[in-house]
Amino acid sequence: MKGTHLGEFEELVLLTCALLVNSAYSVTVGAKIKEQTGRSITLSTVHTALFRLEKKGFLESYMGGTTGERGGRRKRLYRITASGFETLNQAKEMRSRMWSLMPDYKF
Amino acid sequence: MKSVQPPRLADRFLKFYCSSQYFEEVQGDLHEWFAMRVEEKGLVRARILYYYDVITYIRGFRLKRINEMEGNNRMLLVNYIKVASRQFKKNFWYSTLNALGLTVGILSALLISIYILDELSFDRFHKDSESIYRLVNYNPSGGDKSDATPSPWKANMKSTFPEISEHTRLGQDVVLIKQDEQNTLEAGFYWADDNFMSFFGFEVLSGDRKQMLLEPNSVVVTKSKALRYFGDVDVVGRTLPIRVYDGNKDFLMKITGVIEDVPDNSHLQFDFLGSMSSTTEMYGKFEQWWGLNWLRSYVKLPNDVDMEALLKKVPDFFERHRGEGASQYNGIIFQPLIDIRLGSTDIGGSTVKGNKDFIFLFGCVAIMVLLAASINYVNLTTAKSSLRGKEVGMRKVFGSSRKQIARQFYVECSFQILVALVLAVGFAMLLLPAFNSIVDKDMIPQDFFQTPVLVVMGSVYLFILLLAGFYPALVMNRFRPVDVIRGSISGPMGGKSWLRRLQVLVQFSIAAFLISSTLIVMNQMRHINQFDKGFNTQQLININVDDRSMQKDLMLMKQQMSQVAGVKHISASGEALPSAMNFTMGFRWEGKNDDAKYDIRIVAIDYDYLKTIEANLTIGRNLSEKLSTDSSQVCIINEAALRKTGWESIDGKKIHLDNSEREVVGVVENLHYNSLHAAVDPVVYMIVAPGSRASADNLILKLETANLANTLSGLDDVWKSFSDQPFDFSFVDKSFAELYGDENKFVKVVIGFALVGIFLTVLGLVGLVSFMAEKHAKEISIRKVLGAGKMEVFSKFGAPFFLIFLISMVLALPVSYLLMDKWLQNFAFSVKVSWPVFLIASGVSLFITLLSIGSQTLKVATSNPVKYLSDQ
Repeated sequence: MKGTHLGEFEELVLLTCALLVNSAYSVTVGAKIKEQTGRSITLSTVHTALFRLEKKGFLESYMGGTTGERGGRRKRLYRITASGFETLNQAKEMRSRMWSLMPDYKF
Repeated sequence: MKSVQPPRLADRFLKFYCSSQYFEEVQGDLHEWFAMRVEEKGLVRARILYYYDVITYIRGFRLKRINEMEGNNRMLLVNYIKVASRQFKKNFWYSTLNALGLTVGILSALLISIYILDELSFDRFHKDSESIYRLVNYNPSGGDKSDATPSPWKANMKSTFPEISEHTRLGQDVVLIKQDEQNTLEAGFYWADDNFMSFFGFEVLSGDRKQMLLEPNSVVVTKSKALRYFGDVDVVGRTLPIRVYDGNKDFLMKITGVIEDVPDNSHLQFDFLGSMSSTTEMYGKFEQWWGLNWLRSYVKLPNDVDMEALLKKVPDFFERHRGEGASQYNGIIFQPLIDIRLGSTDIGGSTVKGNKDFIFLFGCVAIMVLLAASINYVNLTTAKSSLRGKEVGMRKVFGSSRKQIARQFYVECSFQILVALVLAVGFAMLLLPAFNSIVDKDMIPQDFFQTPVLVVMGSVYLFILLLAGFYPALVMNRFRPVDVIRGSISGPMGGKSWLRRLQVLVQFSIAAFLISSTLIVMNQMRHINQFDKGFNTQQLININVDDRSMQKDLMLMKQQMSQVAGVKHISASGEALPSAMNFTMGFRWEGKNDDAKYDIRIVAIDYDYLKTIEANLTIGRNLSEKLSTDSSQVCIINEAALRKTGWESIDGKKIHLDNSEREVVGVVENLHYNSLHAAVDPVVYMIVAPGSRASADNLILKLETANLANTLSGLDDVWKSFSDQPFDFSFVDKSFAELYGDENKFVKVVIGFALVGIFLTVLGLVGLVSFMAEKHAKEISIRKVLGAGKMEVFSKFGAPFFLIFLISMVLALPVSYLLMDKWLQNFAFSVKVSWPVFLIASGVSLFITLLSIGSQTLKVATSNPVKYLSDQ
C-alpha cells in the first residue's frame, strides 16, 4: 500500500517522536537523532519527514502555546498516533522475526 | 542579545517564500537550531549554515500560495500580463520578429552547445578514464606520431615503467566471415589482449568480462553483430568461422561474450574482438618483432603520476632494448584517453578524429550568435519601451510606486524571454534529427537537459532579463509623471543613447567577424578541394588486394584487367591512394655527412604507375621495361626526398635503403598521398619484387568516363576468376574527399550558423533604424519643410552609424584575422589570409548598414511631411 510505507529516516523520526513525550518538534527530534546516531542532521529534512508522517497518519500535530522562548513564536508539537505506534511495532517485530532466523555466522 | 541574531537577509528570504501556514513554526525552529549551532560551532559558521538551512527548507508544500501574496500585487500581476499581451498585439510584426530573433539565437546556441558537449564527452564513460593513457609511437628526429606501436612494448615496458599498472593492446585485422555460403568483409575486427575487457568499461551483456578473451580462438561480438549473424543476442558458446585476410588463414572462433554496441562517443570503434592468443600461430614471433608497428596500446597510470619523471625514462627504455642511439628516432608519448578525440590531428592512425580548433571556432560562432540575438532583443525591447512614457506616467499618477513599475517591466520581459526559451528548446528537439544527420551524430533530446546546458540557458535568461528589463525599469522611472503626460518629454531617449551606440557597435563587430571568418573558412575548403595533388584523381579507382595468396597472381590479374574495355591504364602499387604510407626504411644518401637517422617511405610501383596517375617528373626519366636494371637497381624519389639530400643534380647518384642501394633516375613532383593536414614526406618509388611486405598489393586503374558500369562489371568478372571474396574498389577522388568528410560537413554547419548570426544582426539593425526613423519622423519632416534635401536627411542620420561602423571594423577585423590565422595553421597547406576578404566583409557590412538606414530614412523623407506633423 503506497503512502504508508515507512522509510529508514522516517522510522527514525517516528521512533524519536515516540520517545519525546509532549515535547517532540523538529528541533528536539533533530537534536535527539543527532545525539543518538551521530549523523549530521538538516533541520528541513526532519521537518519534511514530520510533515509526511503526519500525512500518513502516524503522527498528529498541535500548536504549542506562546512562551518566552524563541521570540514568542509557537511550536508545532507532534504526538504519535495509535497507527504510528502499531507500525513501529510491526517494523520491530519483523526485524526480530528475521533475526531469529539468522544463521550462526562466524567471521 | 543582538549579536546572536540569525542573518536578517535569510529571514527575509524565508518570509518571502514560506507559506504563512508554516512560517511561524519554521522560523521559530530555525532560530532555536541557530542558537544551538552558535554554541557548537561559533557565530560565523552558524550564520553561514543558517543561509543553507533556509535554502534547504524550500519544499513545494511550504511555498507561498498565490492567494497568500499581497492582494494588490497579485491583481497587478494579471494586469501586467494583460498589458504585455496588448503591447504585443499592437506591434504584432515588430514583436514577433523580435521574439523570433531571440528564439533562433537561443536555438542555434542550444544545438551548438550539445554538439560541443558531445565532442567533449568522448571516452569519459570508462571507469577511471582519467588514468588511462594511449601510447603514441613518436619519432623525435622526424616528428612523426602514430598510434600504431610495436608489439614488444608490452612485455618490456613493465620493468622500466613500474608505474604502469595495466597494459592492453588491440590490433585491427580485416576478416572475412563465412556464413550460409555468403562471405562478408568485416573491417571492425580486432585482436585484443586478454585483459582488454577488464581494462576498459565497455558494457558486457553476457559472458565473464575477465575470462572472455583468455582462450585462443575466442571472440567477443557486439549486440548488433550478434543479431546480424545469428538473429539472437544469446549466442555465447556458438561458433563463427572467419578467415583472416592478411594471414590467409581460417579460424573457427568460439563466441565467449556479447557486449553492448560500442557507444558513439568512444574513439575505439569495433564490432569483434578476437583473443590475442589466437594470433601467435599465425603471426609467429610478432611479440619480439620491434619493427612491426601494428597494435594500439593503452596503459593505466596512477592518478598522481609524475609525467615528467615518466618521460625521462623513455630514452633509457629504447637505449636498453634497441641499442645505443635508438632513442634518437624512437619515443613514446603518453596521451590521456580523454584527449584522444580532440587532440590527435597530428597523430597517424585510422580512428575518426575531432579537432579542437573546429570546436573552438564553433564555440565562437555560438557565442556570437547568442550575443547578436540578445543584443537585438535588448535593443528593440528598450527602444519600444521608451515609447511607453505615457503609460508609466499614468501608472505613477494612480499611485504606482517605482518598485511596482520596475516590477512591471521585469515581469513583461521575463515572460517574453521564457516563451522564447521554451520555443527554442521545442524547435531544437524538432530539429535534432536533422542536425544529427548533418553532423553525423546520435544525440538525443535528453542531451538538452545536461547541467552545463541548463546553466548556460539560465545565465542567458538572467543576462537578457537584466539588460532588457534594467533600462526601462530604471530610466523610465526617473521622469516626473507630469512632464511625461504633458508631453514635454516625448520619451526618455536623451542621455542613454551611448548604450545603444555601444550595442550597435557590438552588432557591427559580430557581423564583420562572422562574414570574414566564413569567407576564410570557405576559401580554405575550396583550396583543399582544388589543390593540385601532383596527380590526377579523376576517374581513378583503387582495388585493394589484401589477400596475400592473391598477390602472386597480381601481375596476371593486372594483365587481364587491362584487356577490359574502358580501362585506359592500369598499374600495381604498394600503397593505396590516399594512404598513410606506413612502410618505411632507413634512408642514407651519397654525400650525407651527419649521423642523423632518417626514414624514407617506400612505395612499390610498376612501369605504368606514373602514367596511370598522371604525375609529372621534374628531373630524369620514368622506369622503363626496356632496361633490365630498372626492375631492381634504380628508383625514383620525390622532391621532398631530393630536398633532404641537398643534391644539385641526380646524375648517377645513389641512395641507401636500409642495406640495399639504388640509383636515382628520376625525381617526381611531391604527390599529396594523404590529407592536406599532413606534409609530404620523402618517398621513394621503385619496383619491389613480390613476396615482401612492401610489394604491390593494390591495383590502380584509370577508366574511361563512358560506360563506367560496363567497365566495372568487366573488372568484377576478372576479379571473380581469381577470388571468392567480394570485389571491393574505391574511387580515388571520393576517398580523398572522405579524408575531409567530417571537416567539410562541419564547415557547412559552421557557415550555416554564421549565416544565422549575420541574419540576426541585420534584423536587429533594420529594426533599430526603422524605430529611430519613426521616432525622428517629426524632426525629419520639419527639416524637409525648412528645405532639407533627401541626401542631407540621409547623411544626418547615417553619419553616427558610419562612425560606429568604422570603429567596429577596427575592432573586429584584427580579432578575426588572429583567430582565423591560428585556425589555418592546422593545415599543412593553407591559404593566406588575404586583405580582400576583409574588404569584402566590411563592404558587405557597410552595404547592409546603408541599405537599412537608407531605406528607413528615405521612407520618412520621401513621404508627405503632413503625415507626421498633423497629429500635433
